Amino acid sequence: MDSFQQYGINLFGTTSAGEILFDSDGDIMLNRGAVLVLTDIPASSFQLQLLKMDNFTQDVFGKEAGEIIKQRFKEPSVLTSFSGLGKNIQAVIDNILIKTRSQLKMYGCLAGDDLKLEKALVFTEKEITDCGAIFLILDDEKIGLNGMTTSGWNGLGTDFTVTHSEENVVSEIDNIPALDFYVNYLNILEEDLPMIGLEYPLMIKHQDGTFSLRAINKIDKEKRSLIFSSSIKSGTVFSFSASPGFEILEKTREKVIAFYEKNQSADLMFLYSAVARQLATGPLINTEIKLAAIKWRVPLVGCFNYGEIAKDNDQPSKFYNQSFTLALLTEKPAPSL
Amino acid sequence: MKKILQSLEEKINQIGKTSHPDKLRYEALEDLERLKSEISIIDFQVSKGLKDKNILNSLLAKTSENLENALKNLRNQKDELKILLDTLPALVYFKDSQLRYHLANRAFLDFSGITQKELEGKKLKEVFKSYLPIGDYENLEESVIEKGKFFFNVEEQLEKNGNIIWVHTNIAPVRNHTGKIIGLIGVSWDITDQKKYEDELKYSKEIAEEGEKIKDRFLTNMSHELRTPLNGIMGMAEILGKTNLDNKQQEYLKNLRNSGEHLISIINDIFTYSSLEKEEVKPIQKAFNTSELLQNTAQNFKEKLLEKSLKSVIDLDKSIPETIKGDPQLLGLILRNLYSNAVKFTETGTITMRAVPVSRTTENELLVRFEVEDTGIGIPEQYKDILFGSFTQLDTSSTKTYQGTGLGLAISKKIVNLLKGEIGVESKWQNGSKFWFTVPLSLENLETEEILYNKQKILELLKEFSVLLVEDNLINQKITSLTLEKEGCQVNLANNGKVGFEKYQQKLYDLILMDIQMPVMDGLEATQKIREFEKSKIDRHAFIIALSANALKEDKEKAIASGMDGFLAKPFKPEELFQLLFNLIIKK
Repeated sequence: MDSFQQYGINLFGTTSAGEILFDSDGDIMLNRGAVLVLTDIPASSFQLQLLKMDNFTQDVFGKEAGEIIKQRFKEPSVLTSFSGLGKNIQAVIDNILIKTRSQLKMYGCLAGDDLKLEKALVFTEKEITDCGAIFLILDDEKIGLNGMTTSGWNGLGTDFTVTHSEENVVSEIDNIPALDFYVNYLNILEEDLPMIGLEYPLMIKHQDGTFSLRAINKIDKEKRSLIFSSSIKSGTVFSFSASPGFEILEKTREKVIAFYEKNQSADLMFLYSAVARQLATGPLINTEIKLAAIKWRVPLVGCFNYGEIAKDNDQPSKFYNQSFTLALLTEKPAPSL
Repeated sequence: MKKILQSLEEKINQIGKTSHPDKLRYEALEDLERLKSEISIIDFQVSKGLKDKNILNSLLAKTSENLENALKNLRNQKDELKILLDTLPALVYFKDSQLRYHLANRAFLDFSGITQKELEGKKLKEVFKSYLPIGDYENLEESVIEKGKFFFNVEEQLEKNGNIIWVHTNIAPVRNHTGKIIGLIGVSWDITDQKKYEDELKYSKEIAEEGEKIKDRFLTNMSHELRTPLNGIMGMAEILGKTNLDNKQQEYLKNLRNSGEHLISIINDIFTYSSLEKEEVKPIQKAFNTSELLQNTAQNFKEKLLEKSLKSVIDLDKSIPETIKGDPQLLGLILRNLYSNAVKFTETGTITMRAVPVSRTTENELLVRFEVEDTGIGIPEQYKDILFGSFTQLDTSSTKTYQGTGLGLAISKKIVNLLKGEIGVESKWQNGSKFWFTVPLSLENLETEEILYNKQKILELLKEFSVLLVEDNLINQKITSLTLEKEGCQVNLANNGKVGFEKYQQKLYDLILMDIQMPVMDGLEATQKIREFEKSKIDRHAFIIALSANALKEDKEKAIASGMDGFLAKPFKPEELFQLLFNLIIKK
């Protein structure tokens, strides 16, 4: 961080559960070290902001972030990374969107910590926090930001109902303590959690027939509850879910090709991949990443993480689990005089 | 992987035979790398499979357990539902959206005489082959499925034994969790007994209504039959009074008039009570002079007071405004009833009529208490509670001293209730009575532009009027024409409505006095014809006054509806006719 300060370079950084780099030779590099991409964005076209959540509620935090984003540019868009396992990230996003316009483009992730699920970090060249977020606010009139997201997980077994919850903390499922319910149904050890929760998320069923995947990222052994990155209301109906294996690669391929057809221009790509995808596909994760990289053939940097943020089609920006999320950065030509 | 191994084998076998061993070695190494990659994928799949196996097995087992439990619950619910449905005495059935029977309860199967198996999957006409329910059921059910609306009906149904029963049927759409209509449920109750009871009730009601009509007809006829001769008696007495009579004859005539007036008051009481019972009387709000109301009431009994040498006192509290708003006719009726009783039951002493304010109920409303106090025989304590009942007189013996229907106080109480007031009595046996009532009177908009009745004015006008009297009764013809001619009017006669109409076509009379019940053509039809004639042929309007012995409210309404301008019940006093004509001609 000191070196970056010394050279006057702004740093937009996040810890992860694995790093991704598509190098100049056309090879995919995955490692447990660090990857770095240097980009030359005019200072007038971006603002880097780190905000610490401290004791703020997600409402206040989200609205403060939203206010900063709104004030900076007439048409802003945002690359972001959150730290703070067990925090309600979806609520923060909702509050940002209350302050900005509902169609604000946001892409990013919930930072990882190499599957320890203890402490993830986000940082700039000056500050670092394990409970907050960094925002790279872009002037959308000069730097285009666009993206897509896809999942592929399938529901398993019968439906259950959340019978007691508060915000993102689920304490009872079918009137049984949530932690006991989860451990009993999957026949796992309590010690396997929360890590195994990344692979077997709940598939939340909405009344309009759509669904969302929600992965556990923290547990409360004392209160026997499961903690997620998004609110899950009492009465929510869900089933367990699992990856169908390599089939998810096929789904990604279809979606990437369709997205490429409409968005062929890019100068830099960010890839946010749920770590669960790597756990589900093993060495074949390269295939999925390479598919995206070779389509655009521009520098690609990314990471495996515990949750993704994306704006998919006409939907507002949302928090996702188990997703393959791409964000494309494009320098827009200056308007002719 | 097999292909890679074959390729590798071929390359190793060719290494000694080729002149380019390095190239082959390089390709073999590439194959080995691919092999390693494939093996790592297989390794991953195996270890992932092992890891997932436990979890997925557990989930599968639990899901299977859940499904088994759900199935068991479903079976239990189905059994419970069947018991419940079979216990219901109503006929219950379910049909799918194609209107095929799906399920029916015991009562339905018993009613239709078929089994559940015979019923399932079949349509109405397949199930009820030998006989069909009455009514277009399939169309109704189709509309329930198409429109999703409930259907309620009471209808006749044919039982399997051919008996007709009455059923109340409800058909409702059945929707799935997405709201799509997947069928219908029908529920029918046998209401034959209830229907029978309803019919009996309806019949009883019709009988009662018919009885009520008969009563009304009787009252109308009685009114006509009593009033017509009474009109003659009173009219002739009036005329007789204008002739030279000696004292004895004057005395007889007076008795004749008293008896006639008494009879009129009895008939009037009966009709007033009947109107109040039928709630036909509607109070009006009209400004009136309080002092005049009391004075006029006492004035009506002037002769009787003189006869008994009773003193009359009127005590009007000065704080009551001279003009106030209420229904002077109804108030006058109550006061006359109370005063009449006081005169009737008092032999010596004083009758005092009083009006005092009680309180301001609102800013514009004053509660006034009217009292009629006498020094008469008073009322024993035990009778006070029944005083205001209908047809009540304290002396019920056949040789009772005091005449009357006993309706006066009942009428007064009904009117006071109608005016939102209270009525009561304070009395001691042999020590006089004080009857009182309170009514709220309005102080709002008291300015009146009342044109005071001026008999002279109307008589002057009448002298210039041509008058046609349409009347079939000879005595009534004489009385009415003599009364009017005495005031200087020229009166022509017509014996029935037809002649009356013809005469009006020949001479445009200013005033027509029209009887209602007449042979050939009644007064109502004649009036209608006259009005049609006026409308189509001439632009004028003659005043037509009904003179009828039928005094019920509906008789008046019929007369006005036929086109008449006013209504007088026979027997009438000349003064009443003049007042009516004044109101019609001069006031309007």
